[in-house]
Amino acid sequence: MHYGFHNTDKELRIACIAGNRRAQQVLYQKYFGQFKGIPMRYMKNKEEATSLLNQAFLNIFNSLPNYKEEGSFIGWMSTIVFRTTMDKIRSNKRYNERFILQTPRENARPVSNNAESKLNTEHIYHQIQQLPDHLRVVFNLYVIEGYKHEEVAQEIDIKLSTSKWRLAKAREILQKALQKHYPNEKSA
Amino acid sequence: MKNQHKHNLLDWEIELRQEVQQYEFDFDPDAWNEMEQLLGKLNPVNTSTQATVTISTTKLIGIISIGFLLNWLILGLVVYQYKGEEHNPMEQSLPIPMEQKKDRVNMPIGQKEPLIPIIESHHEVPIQMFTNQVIDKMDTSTLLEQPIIEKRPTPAPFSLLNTRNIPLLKTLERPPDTSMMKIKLQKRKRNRKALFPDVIEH
Repeated sequence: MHYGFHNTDKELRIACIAGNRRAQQVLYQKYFGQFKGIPMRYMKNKEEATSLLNQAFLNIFNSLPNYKEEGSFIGWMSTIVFRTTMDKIRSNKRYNERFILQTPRENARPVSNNAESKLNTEHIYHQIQQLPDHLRVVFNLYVIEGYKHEEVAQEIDIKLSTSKWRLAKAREILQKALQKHYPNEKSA
Repeated sequence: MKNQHKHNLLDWEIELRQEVQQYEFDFDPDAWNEMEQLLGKLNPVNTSTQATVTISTTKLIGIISIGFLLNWLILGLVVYQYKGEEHNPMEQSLPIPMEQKKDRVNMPIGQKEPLIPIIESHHEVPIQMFTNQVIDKMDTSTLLEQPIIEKRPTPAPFSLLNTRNIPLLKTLERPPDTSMMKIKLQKRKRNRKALFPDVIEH
């Protein structure tokens, strides 16, 4: 059987469990765009994000036999991608580095006048990636994922006060970087 | 992922969040190549059918070759047996006596020369005795003139050693007068008093 985008997730899932490479490719291609954003927010660059996403997909393929058809398949997969990302963050020392007050990085891409008007989501991603690692994680968990400070502290094993402090710093830096994108906002 | 609270988020953060979550990246073919390598390391492509075909082909070739070899051996053995009965290469290599040569000349065309000469009057006599008798009656002076004919028995194929009827050997029995004499050897005693008697005697 030749698998393609016309196949349902269930058909693809069964074929993936059987080890069909074409079905794996279709499933990967189908959800690549949706899941790429998760590691992109937490990793420093696109290469790291792609590598982490592949690791997450590998975990998905290996865990497919354990999937019980309860809840949405996409939600189940995105949870695996997120957990893989968190595992990577926890295993990386640099996310627990002591915070040193930094101004926006020198190597940050300067926003040109032309790009200023064409700021798109990828630019937002880029600005998030420019945050220091430990700030970026807290910002993503709190703002994007919707964690509370207690949960953030528990997730990455930091103090509650540290979580609050890091969020404040991340907001400060990011708001400056995206000031032209969100001009009417006042600092918190 | 939680994604359910709206606690203390600024407006620009809510907007940013929506933009980020709704955005879909373009597919990257290089990423799939990398993914394929990862999958290849962990789970090689399902080649079980190919492997089965390869194994069965190898087995089939092996069986065919063994069968061919056995067939060739059996055929070779059968051919060898028939050739061994009809043709004795040793006979050709030996010199032919003059009388036989004359007989061959006078022999009518198309008649085959018997491979083993039939001796009707002596078929009950063992080979060795017959040979001795013939030699005793012969004038030995003629032996010097005639070339010596050495008749060697045709080597029988190993598979027919016990089943084949060898001419002149079917009544091979030892005659009563040819019983072997036992030689009684005396025990030799050494004379201890004599030093090296053998050396001194010889």
